[in-house]
Amino acid sequence: MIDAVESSGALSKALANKKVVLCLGSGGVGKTTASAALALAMASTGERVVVLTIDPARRLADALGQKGSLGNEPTRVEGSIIDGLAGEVWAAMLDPAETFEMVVRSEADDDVQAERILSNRLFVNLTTSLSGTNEYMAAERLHQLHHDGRFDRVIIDTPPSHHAMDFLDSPGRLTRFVDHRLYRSVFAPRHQLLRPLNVGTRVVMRVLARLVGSSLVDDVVTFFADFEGMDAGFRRRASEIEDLLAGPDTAYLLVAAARRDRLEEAKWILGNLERRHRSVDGVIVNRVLPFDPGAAEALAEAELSPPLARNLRELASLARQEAALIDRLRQFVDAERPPPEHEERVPLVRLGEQLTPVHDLTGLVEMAKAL
Amino acid sequence: MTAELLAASNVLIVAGKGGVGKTTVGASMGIAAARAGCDVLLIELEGYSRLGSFFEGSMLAYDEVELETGGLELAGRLRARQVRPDDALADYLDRAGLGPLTGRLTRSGAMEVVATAAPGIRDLLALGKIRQIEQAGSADLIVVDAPAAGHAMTFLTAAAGLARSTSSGPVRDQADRVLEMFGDASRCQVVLVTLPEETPVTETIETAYGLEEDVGIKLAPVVINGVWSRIAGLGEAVETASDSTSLAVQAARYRMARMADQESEIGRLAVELPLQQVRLPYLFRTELGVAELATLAETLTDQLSLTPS
Repeated sequence: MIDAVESSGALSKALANKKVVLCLGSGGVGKTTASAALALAMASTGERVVVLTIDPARRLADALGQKGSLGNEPTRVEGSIIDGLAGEVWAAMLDPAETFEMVVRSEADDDVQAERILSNRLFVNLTTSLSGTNEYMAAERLHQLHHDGRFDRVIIDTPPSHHAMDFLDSPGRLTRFVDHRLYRSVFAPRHQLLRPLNVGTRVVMRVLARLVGSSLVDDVVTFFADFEGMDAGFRRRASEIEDLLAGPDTAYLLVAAARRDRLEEAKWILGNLERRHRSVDGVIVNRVLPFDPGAAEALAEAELSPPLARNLRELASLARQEAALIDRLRQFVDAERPPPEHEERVPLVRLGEQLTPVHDLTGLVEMAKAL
Repeated sequence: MTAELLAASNVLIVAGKGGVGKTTVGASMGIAAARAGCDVLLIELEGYSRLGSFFEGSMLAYDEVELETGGLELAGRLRARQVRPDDALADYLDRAGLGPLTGRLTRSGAMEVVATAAPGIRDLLALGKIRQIEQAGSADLIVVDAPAAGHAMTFLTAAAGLARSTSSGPVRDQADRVLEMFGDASRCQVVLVTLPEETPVTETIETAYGLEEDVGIKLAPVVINGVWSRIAGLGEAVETASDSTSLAVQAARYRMARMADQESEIGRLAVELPLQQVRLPYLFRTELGVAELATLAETLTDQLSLTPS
């Protein structure tokens, strides 16, 4: 028998008052599709929802049936099915470089300071290839969209698990860097006119120059000298973002798949949320084989032609294993967050495997209904 | 063909989007090569170990371990280790004669400064360590489990990026040596792994062209993992079934629709990415162990005409 599915309304109820929903999960579990389906589900109740994806692939655009590519600026999703919804669905794809530039321009004292920073080689490196920058800029973009009056809710399709944790830790990243003792003593020369570099710092600088070449070290010094005066704005926003992510307006939605390694990663994510004093508000197990293993097994014993019997046995065995894994996930979620007497369990919704990729919105609407 | 691949290239970097089974494929290749008599070293880059769980809980660390393969008979050795960037850095500083400074560099936060100043340096250090292991010649074949998805590109382009942004110094030397290894197909190739599904196939095609253009690394045959096997006579059985609404018929229709999607994706991959394809069967298991890896290794051996020694 299939284990009881929590009433499909439980998830909407758990997310009802949330302004921000972070969809977390490992790669290949269908996080983007689940984010898009959730947006549709919320829009059907009249909300104006924006989905931001960090994934540079076209997946979100595809899932929402959009022909053109998405950009940093949200695009309103249109189509006969969406037009019938009471609310609005918007979609955007993070452009880290553009977001960084927006932030720098808004914080700089003047255009000259902004241009100096934007043309620095370190800035270019920071925005194009530094791992972690995507996550950091995603947090900045979340902040902008959250304060954008056009939207009631923001859904974030985060990068796969490990990087999602970078995302949660990212807001203070640049300011922690700027606040660092080393930066203070080396990279903020204007504060240091009266104090010579200590021996330890000089050794460190020499080693750095030996490692990466002195021109790169010079770039770093220039960059942070130019950055001066802007750190107050960055620090203020970082703490606002941290408050938003830790506060009651933000929900954490775990997207998982019924496979052993995916399940391990789901547990890893739950454990990491716990360590950050965040708890999960809902779980979606995606791509579940749409068969009841018990019924399938019973039937496989009946008189069937060999091809039908073999197929049914294979699928039933898979469905049985999936159900066991989902049970284990359920237990793990309950153990991480035991339901207090007055509170309901964390809702866990299973979505059946969609055979054809969800392109036309019909499939997505079906998923949205299940949510 | 892959007898050549496994014997002729020292390092195989297994890459693909998250969830396609990179680690599974890498481990199966390792088993296939070890069965053919190669001494194999599997390298895992991220701290989060999936590889160990396949081998009866072998614990992976910076030092090599022999993998527990149960009753599986191998002609060559099968070892594994992790190469985490931070360990690789400490190792690197040590060899550069800066060992005593490692602690201070880490404590002072200087490493974060370096990582910010020279993005990709962590990836480069890991690649440099892999190159060093390759040069030491202690294994016939090194199989590297690359980071997932877009991060595979970041990882593999780190050396080229750093070579462009640094003009001299040990980092530049390191980058040049890694690029030299990448440019030599007899030393290093990339194995792309995908599933016969739309998104993974699309991303594999994009990654393949990206790697060829930006990294200039040779692509080995592409591995299509999780291919559902055809059941002979299933279509006819559906046609002639007495109850066309029964669960058995629904299940058969599900299977057939899946197979049709799968074939069209495999066909698209063949058209858009002219590489030899290797297909690994879907095993109907949510959990894989040594036995399943051995099955996959056999398929690899068959398709790549490896002759066990």
